[in-house]
Amino acid sequence: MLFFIGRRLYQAVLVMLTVALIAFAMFQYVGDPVANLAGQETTLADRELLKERLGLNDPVLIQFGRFIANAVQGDFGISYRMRVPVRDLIAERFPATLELSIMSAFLALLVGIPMGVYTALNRDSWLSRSFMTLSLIGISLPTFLIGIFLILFFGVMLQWLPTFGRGEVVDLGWWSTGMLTSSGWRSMIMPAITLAIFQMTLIVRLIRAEMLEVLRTDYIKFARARGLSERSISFSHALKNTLVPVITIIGLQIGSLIAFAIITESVFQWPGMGLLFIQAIGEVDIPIMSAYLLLIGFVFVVINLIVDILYYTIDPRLRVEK
Amino acid sequence: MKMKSLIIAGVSALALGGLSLPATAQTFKFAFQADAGSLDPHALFETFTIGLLANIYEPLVAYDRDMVKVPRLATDWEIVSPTVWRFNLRQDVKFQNGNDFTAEDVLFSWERMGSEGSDLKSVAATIKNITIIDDYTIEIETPVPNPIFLNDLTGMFIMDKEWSVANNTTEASSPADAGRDGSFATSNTNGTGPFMLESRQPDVKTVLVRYDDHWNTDIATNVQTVEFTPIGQAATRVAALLSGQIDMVYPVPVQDWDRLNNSDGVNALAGPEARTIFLGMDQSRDELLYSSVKGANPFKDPRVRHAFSFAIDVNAIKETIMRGAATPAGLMWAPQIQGFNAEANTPHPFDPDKARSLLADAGYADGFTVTMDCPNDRYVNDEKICQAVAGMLAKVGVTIDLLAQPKSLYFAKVLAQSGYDTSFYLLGWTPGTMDVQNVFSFLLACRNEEGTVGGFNLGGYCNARVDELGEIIASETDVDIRQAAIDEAAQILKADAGYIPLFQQPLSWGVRDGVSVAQRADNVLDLRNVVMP
Amino acid sequence: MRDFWKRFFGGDLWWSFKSSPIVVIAAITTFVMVFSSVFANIVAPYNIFDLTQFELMDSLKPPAWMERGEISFLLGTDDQGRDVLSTILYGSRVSLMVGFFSVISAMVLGIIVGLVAGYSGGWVDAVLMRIADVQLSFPAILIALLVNGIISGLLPGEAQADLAVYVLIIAISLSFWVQYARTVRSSTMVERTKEYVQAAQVIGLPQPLILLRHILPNVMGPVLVIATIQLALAIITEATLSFLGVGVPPTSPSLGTLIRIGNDYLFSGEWWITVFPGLALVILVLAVNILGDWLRDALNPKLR
Repeated sequence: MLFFIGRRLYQAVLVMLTVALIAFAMFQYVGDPVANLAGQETTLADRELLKERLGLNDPVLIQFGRFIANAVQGDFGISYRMRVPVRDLIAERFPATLELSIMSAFLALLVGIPMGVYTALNRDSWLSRSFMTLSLIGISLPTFLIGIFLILFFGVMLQWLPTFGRGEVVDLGWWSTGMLTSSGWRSMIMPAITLAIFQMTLIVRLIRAEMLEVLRTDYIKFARARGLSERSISFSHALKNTLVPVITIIGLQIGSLIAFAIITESVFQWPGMGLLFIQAIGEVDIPIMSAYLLLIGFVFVVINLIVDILYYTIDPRLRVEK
Repeated sequence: MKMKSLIIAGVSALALGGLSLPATAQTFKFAFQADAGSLDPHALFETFTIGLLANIYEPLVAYDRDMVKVPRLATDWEIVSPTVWRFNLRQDVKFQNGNDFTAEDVLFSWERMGSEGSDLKSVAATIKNITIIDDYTIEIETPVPNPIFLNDLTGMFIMDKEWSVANNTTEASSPADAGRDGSFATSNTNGTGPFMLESRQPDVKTVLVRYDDHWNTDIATNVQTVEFTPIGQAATRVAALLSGQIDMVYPVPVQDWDRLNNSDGVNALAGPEARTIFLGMDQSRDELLYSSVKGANPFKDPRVRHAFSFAIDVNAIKETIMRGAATPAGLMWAPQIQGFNAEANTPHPFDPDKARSLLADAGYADGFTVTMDCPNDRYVNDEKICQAVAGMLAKVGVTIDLLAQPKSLYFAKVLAQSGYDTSFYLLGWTPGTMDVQNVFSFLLACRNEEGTVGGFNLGGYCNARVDELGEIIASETDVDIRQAAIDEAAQILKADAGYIPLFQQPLSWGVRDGVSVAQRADNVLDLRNVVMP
Repeated sequence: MRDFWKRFFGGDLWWSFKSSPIVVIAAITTFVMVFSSVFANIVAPYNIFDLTQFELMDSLKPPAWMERGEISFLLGTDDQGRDVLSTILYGSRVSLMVGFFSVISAMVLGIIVGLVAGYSGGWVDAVLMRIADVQLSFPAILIALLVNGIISGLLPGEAQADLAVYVLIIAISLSFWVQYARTVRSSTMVERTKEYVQAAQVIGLPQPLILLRHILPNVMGPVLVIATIQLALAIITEATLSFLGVGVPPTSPSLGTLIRIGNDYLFSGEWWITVFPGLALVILVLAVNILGDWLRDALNPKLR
């Protein structure tokens, strides 16, 4: 067990270093940060001076080494654009993204699982067919289009819901939450739905497919033969066995929630990390971009690790192989 | 302290006459497309940053709502000799932490502006020396006679020396120092202005509150709290105004004006901005970097430059893309700029046949291909304008390869640091000093090696006579002689077709009904002029 | 080959196709859209790349059936005076091209990696699958953003606009290849042990021949299913990248770029600039998705 985890950890570090190197290499070519740091009347000499002081004239490897050494100590440098430590910015923005992601994951599961189970159990009912059609449409709608149309209908035409931001937030020391005010909840609705729709359709289809597989297995047939009720077969046998692979895949999907949050956050001006990242790209704010990619990489590595360990504990066959 | 603020509140209520007592706390919420770069008044010389900080910090001389220069921390001044100005400073002014404002603070602020991390070194350089006569009198010496010295002073915010020393922020914070020692002023403020910083989350929200002990009790505003939110997406910004969450947003896309004006409770507020949008052509290289023409530079031939001018229908761009809201321009500087002469501002006529024949004369009867650089997030509808220009040039046979990029990439490519890597480009310019001299020094002067003049003359336009006239304009204090020089230069520029001015872009704000704001030509929102219902 | 079609029309696949009207409609829709965009220069009323064909003063005209609309601009015009119908046809061509070619190249790459990994096993397999694992844990859109950023950063500015389409294809295919590799690998591992492969090995056929002639045809079923579903995903990914502003430029627009441009006019009432390309995108993706769904169910013997 220890050996297994150790190996995975070693691989995780390798992955992180690769991510860091790729991210860092990319940033060398995205643009010139000095063009943004300086005002329009800054002279060439002053621009050069600034470049020198930022260490942008050092060899790439030295810059990379410095970056890693600092990142390990939790220092991601200073945002070129906002001139405050990136660590503080990320800490400020992280709660917004996490609350949004969790809300939409919750939403997607709450609606997706029952729909998936229903469509698997009643394959040919018209309701299943319309669920499946809906989920197809959901998969075929790009996230940004959903967001734009929601804003147009519920924000501008009907004026029911706020169209941007988190509403009023309450500061709980190091965590700022929008879940304690009504305006915070109202602001959450549209972004959460926008972000949830794609995941939801995915979950519906996943659950349906897995469940159909399970319903075909011998032990379900055997349970039927034993005369167990359809209901008990569906829920205690089929669904339970469906959930194991589904949960792991959903775990991995949290990662894509964070990635798709980039689009949702920029449509709704949600002050999370995705918005920070997209704005940083526009302004060539290298430290923020590096920190974001490293953080996302870290989240993925941790989720993967958990999933691997879960598999290891659940599936004894994996242990034999080692 | 408490007592005093009560008295002042009473006085200001009296001064405002008919207005009711400011007992209800008025909160004004506004949104802009980006956040201020820093709260350090000397860290970034950028319009919005300086404009926001002008509510917290104050200069000796400032622009009022109509862009007229008015005394602010100075009460009056006289010119002692062509290079020496004597200023009397306002007494009884207190910084927001209670410290007195004195001549020491002016000297300190000037020195701080010249420190290494400052982005206002060019402004600091307009002063050679400051002599303190007494606590409230100073003499400022300029390196040369400077007709626009007062304009230069408007960008020079005064900080409190004691506070800066106590907080170890006596030098302007360079981006490289952020978050380390000496960057206190990046996120903390202590000015003399009518508003104080209450809280700030960069890029999320900045809250200002009224400074009750402000020296000026008759400024118009009745606002007690200001909430500023940066909103990057134009659609989101407009939606926020329409849905009633925000009192004022800017900029509003010009195409959304009708929508605002047709909606209840909000209105579009439009006016001409002092920013001139123009096209530039590389006239310095012997062969264009990005063109089908090899071994020659077609833009070196004035006929080609004129042909481009004739080919572009500025009015069509104005009517469609700008929704009628641009002011076609014949000059490189706007009507609001000191030195403007309406007679010289006739726009270039649109005449595609003339353009074709000029191109044929120049030996390009079949046209040629050239790449055009264009920003896509800097000016009002910039990319759409470039697309339209490409369409119009196509009709006279010139093929444009359009390279539209975000401003960070665009400026990195076309500016001096990449060696002016462009053949044909679109750029906009507002002279920071609101005087024409700024246009001469940045856009019209021949470039020099050090990049100290002509820094934004990306096409390398160079005419010796214009340079001479520029010298006169920089130092001549006689208004008539100066204007004659400006007019002569304008004529030469037009004959050369050194640039193709298109128009002044519109200011475009969206405001809730009942909220009164002053729309300044430099696109600055001065909270002193905001009155809530 | 004739055998193949005979099997096809006589087989279950054709039967299940015929019996579902939705699938037939989806197939027809896909065909019409693919056909009209491939031959856009014949079908479209205007050539959007010929800048002399449109006038700025014609801009922002509403669809023909509305007031102020003109029959010569059936679906209205955009901000540059371009005919919206024509931009959609040319735009779909770019979208389909990016989608199609990125799926093809992802497929080729994935199949090669999968075959090699599955057939050779050992450390080759371990290394390749480790790379696949790492990549699979990142969402495709993030990888596409990253690859797109790296490649366009490496290109000089003036080449970016011209090569944007190819950059997108590379970016999307590099983020999509893993699924094929994994599927092909597991099928290959099963096929490898079968007698016909062992027989081929015994008679001394070269390894590439075994892989291509004997194993590949047997793993193509699931690969085709993945390809159809990924075609839809690739089109959406392209649209999203273009919406975020890192895709193809407005001068040679894709559906995503058209939606981004139109987005500026949503509040001003010129809805047709964004709604029609949006609808075209949704219909196209939906049709492809329906086909993919059907193909997966039809090819999965367990579901019959």
